[in-house]
Amino acid sequence: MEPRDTKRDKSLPAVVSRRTFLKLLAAGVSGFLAARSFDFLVPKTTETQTSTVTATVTKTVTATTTVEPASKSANVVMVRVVPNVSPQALVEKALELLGGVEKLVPIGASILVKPNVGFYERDAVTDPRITAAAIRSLKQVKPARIVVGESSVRGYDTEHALSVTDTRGIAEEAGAEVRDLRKDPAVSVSLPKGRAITSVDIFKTVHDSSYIVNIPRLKRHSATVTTICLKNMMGTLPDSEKGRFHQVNLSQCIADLNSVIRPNLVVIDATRAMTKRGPTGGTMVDLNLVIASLDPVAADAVAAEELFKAEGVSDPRGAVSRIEHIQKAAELGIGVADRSRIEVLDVTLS
Amino acid sequence: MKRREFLKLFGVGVAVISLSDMLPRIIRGKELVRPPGALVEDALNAVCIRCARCVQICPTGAIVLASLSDGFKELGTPRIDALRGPCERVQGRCERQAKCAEICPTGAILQVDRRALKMGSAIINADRCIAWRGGSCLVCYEVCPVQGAISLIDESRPIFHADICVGCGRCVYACPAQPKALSLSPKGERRPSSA
Repeated sequence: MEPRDTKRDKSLPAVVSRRTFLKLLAAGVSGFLAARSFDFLVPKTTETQTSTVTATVTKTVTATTTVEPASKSANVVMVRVVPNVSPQALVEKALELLGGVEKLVPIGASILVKPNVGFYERDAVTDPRITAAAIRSLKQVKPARIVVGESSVRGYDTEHALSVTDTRGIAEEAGAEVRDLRKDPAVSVSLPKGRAITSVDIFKTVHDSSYIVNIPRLKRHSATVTTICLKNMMGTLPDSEKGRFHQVNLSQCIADLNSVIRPNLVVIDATRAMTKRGPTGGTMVDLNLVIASLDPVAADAVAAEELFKAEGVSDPRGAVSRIEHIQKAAELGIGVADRSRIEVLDVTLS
Repeated sequence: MKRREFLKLFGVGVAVISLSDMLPRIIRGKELVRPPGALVEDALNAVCIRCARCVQICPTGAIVLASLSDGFKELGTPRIDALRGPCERVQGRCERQAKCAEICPTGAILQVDRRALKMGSAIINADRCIAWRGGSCLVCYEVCPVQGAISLIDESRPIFHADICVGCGRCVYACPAQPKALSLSPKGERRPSSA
């Protein structure tokens, strides 16, 4: 048989008739659809592993009265004091206004308390009395464990920071374990919603906790404008990860981190705030204020606004809208940054 | 062995040893940064007994012993390696007194006033710096314990002032760039001569 001249011969090869071809095509499409539906019924092992990790955090979030990020509004409470009110009363009032610890924290939780103890200077770290006040309140729900955990800024020794700021002494006295997280091994966690990074290494104590109470100090920051709840979560990372965030995209990585390692409850120490410059070397002002919420994004937005007001910035809300990591966190659905959707309860204790 | 061969070998040996002394200095691009209060170089190399007590006591692990590639005279004497840790004489665990000076048995390292401290200066390689390349990083500025040693251009890019920098190395240690954008040089150091 002569070979066909394929340039001139425009008909289908005679190997397969049109009927057979259409039958094969129909069979192929049906088979493909059947295979895909089978996939939906039988989860792959990698998906199971991912959902186990995220469930550890998500489950505790839904177990509380946390406002779902997709909802219309977020609640933030601000408790202002005149200087002679004790930190204990201040923090207790804030938690009461959020619904009370019994309602917020599951009984028998394994709690991580995460203050900012990134530096050796007292101005730059969370007032240990605020941390201790939170510990005392949390003890009422009889947690399985309360650990105050931190890994300081690269170049600072966490044990020294914990002791020289009196955080270790005061927190242990209040009844918590205090741990230099750098002594932990690291655990890899998947970040399915991550835009700059899709996984992150965190310290084992953080991974093993079922409830995270984030207690940052309200401060300015040279690279991220402000460092409050969202940025404070970087203390859950080994040094190499902290470095990676800077190499990749700091603001997006902070948002990505918080999408899974999301604090359940935040209590911002704004008793004294660092203005004009930070995270060290700024001008301290007495704001005599604690800001608390179940939404770390909303809390950051409200707290940043208070900071800008204290500095005399014109249009503080406009300035907040330009803080990248807060906006990116809102975009990921971690919380609400739109001030018009945040309900603020502003109370003064005397 | 004949005398001639012996003398040749001896001559080669002398040449090798002399070159080994000179070569490290030639190859070594920068001089060594020394612990705070270390004596001037010739005195240090003469007085130090290479006991390594300073290495053991340093709380950050910043002090290491100079190796053969650092030179014969320097071999075994203490130097600061900022990649292992900063010196905390200016801020941190040695604020009250330098632990290395306190433990040094021969006075190769002396206790000096921390306000007069100058171990060297941090040097930036802007080609490697995340901030200078347009990224988001000011870790050096954040961790520097000396106000004014680092300032910012456009609130985003760091420049270093060697006259204010004390050379503690914290910025070098903390720099997240890979490879590091910062190094520590003994430039501008002030050291005591023998007491």
